[in-house]
Amino acid sequence: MDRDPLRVGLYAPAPDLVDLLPGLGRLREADPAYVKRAEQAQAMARRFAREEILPRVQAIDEACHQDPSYVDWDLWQKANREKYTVGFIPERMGGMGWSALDATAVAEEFSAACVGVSALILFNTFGLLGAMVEFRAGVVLKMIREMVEAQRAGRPLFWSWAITEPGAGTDVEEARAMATMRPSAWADRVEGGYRIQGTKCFITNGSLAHYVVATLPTDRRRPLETMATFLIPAASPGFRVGTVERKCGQKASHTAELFFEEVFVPLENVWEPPGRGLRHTREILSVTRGFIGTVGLGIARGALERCIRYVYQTPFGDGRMIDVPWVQLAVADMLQEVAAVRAACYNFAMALDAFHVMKLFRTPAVRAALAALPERVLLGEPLAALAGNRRVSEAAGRLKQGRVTEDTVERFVKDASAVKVAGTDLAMRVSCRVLDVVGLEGMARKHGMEKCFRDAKAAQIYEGTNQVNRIDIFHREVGRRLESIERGGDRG
Amino acid sequence: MDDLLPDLLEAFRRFARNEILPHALEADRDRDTEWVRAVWARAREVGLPGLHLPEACGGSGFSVAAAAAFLDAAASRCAGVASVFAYHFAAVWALWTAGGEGRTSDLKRLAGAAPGVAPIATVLFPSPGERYPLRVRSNGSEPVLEGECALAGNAALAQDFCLFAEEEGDAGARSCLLLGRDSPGLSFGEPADLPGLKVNPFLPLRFHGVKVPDSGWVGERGRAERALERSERMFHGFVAAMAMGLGRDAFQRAHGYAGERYQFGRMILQHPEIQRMLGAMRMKLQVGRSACRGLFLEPVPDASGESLDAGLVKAYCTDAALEIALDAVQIHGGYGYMHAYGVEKLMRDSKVLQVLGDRNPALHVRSIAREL
Repeated sequence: MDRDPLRVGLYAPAPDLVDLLPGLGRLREADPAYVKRAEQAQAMARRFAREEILPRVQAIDEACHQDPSYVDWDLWQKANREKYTVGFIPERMGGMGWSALDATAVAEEFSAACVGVSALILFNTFGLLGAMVEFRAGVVLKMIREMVEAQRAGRPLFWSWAITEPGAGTDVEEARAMATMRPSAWADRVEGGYRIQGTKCFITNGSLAHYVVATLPTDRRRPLETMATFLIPAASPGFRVGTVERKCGQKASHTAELFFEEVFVPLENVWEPPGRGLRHTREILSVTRGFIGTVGLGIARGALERCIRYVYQTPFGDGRMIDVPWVQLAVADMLQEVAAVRAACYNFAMALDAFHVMKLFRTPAVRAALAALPERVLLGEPLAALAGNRRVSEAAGRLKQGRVTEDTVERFVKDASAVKVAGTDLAMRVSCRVLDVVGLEGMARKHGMEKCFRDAKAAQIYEGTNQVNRIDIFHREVGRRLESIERGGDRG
Repeated sequence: MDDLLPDLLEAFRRFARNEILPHALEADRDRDTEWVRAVWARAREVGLPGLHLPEACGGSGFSVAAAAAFLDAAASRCAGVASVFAYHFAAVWALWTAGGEGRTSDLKRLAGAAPGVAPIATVLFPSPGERYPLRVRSNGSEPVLEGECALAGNAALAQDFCLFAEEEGDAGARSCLLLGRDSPGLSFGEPADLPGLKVNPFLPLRFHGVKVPDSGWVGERGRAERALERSERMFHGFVAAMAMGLGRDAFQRAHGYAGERYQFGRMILQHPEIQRMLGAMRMKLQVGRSACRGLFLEPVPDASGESLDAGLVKAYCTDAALEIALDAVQIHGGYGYMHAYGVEKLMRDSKVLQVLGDRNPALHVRSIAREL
């Protein structure tokens, strides 16, 4: 194993976004800054992945095998210093001002090195996305202030999105299913707010969370009609973290059970009123499922690049493993699959930037404010108070509703689901196949490929199993049309 | 294998349920080899180490089909433990095939019929592409074994190593050897830490100037090609049998869980997509199992003159087992991914079974190429 490594992907220092997606060349002519920024994000993330994540991958995986609640805080601090924990926050407010395209490039690079680390560091920003999709100025601004403050102080600040329940995975993500679910957690209306009771499970970063964003019905018998979204500080009396799960893979990111024992939530922490919870979940999924597709793409790429390096370095008979014809064609086959899915993932990201909530940052009002106001004002108390004002908040909500309609959300759920299935099935297929190529010795832990295989399986399950994602695709493209034809038929 | 005596099959299942199942998950987590030795001691009490050897050699007098049936039953509870038996069975089979009655005392020992601790054996087959294949060199009048084995099953546990080595200067000639763990010049590398079969640590072996004693030759020196071919075939069959045992367990668990889990207001077993997945799993099991049976119970060529290619049966059955295990995890959802449920272990174990006795695409190629 003393040859120079073949410098592909993860092992290559140079950014190659436009090489990988030549179609971006045309876009670069029209909007050079947009593509340039994504290239920079990719280059920066690749360097971080190669220099900081890659050398620790095995040690973290082993430490978490011994103790599932282990966290490599040193790595987290490094990522925090480089602002990966506040990527989506506008630059003028102390973040990196990621577009969806930038975030996609970063997620791919991190996940190619280690999807667990990717989940630990990047998924945390999904909490902010949860607030952003509703564009409630008050909530968003408050979160941003807190995140930027914590980032600067080097203090971890985790947001966990708690949707899944012991008796309900699919049921909490889909309307027809939600109508039939038996909730294991719910909120009762009490004086000044709600009291929360019950259990959520498999919550990413749940044991680290400072805030839990949970979807809960206010009437257990009518979950669909009364589902609401609550913000619950982990310091709330009655909130408790259960077991940190011992998982097959993705160990660097914790998965935990959460218990709510009569947890009081004041009205101001109700993010979405009863009846709006499912819609809110769908808005989140319309963005995040796409990123999970990219995460899958990253896993596949990481597995394939490790494989190419391994077969190049491993002697086989008089030559190397890479000289074996069937190995070359298997590699070629995986390369073409990765390229096809990458195109889908980045196309989805650019669509998010063009049509979804990301475009709100480019509306004249928001751009003018970000450009004109100094940082101390942007992050200051008066603006937060103003944004928290009900009428201002409602105005922002209307602005968003006008530009990101119900139809946009459902269209994006469908597109995100397609990318999610494509990316995560790719991750499973490629990580399985590279092990068929490299065989028993290549499967040893030190080569990193068996970990890709263990990691990949979770991605086909979370953010909606790939089966329920397919239901969403069918319903949007065909099913709802069938229903409408049948309804029309009834009338006629 | 279903043609075997029902009582015997029931005894295998009972052994697997009582001796293997209770501790399998913890042992997988802790990579606990001591537990394997404890299982082995219990296995010896019921005559399992020499299951498929004639009684004259200290065995239990059953067929290799019985050995495969045992591996199937054991793998349905823990493929890691089953793999220890598979390597041992294959080693003993190689010894018997290549050495016959001339090796009765070793066979008795390996069958656990001699006093003292019952030793575990393993077998080392030549691996295509191995950079330093095992090779016997005649150093003057003294034969010496050199070479490496990149990773060997049972290497951490075995006392006896049955191996097939090339003869230097005689292309194609193979010798079968039996060497002890303490042979001077035999050294072991670090465990590979594979994703599955955790209780059976695979190690790299290095033979450096290992002198072959007169008693080390099994059968006639340089004449073990046929024994190698038969032993390899048997080993492929054993791996296929384990894959089917594992696959059956995965299928049954997924089917059982689908009958308990509710989504969309009904059991997921009632959802057509889950039914399709389970149906496809059953299809792979049924086809794989019949191929396996064909291998052990109908070793004669069919009407076209072709006999079953054991490597291809192994490739089919192990590919099928992995697909079944992956879908079993999927049907279990998040629970399937958690160690405590024991389903994700099936996918890790099946992935390692898939590459034992060479990689499946290489077996596809070899099946045709060797006829040229």
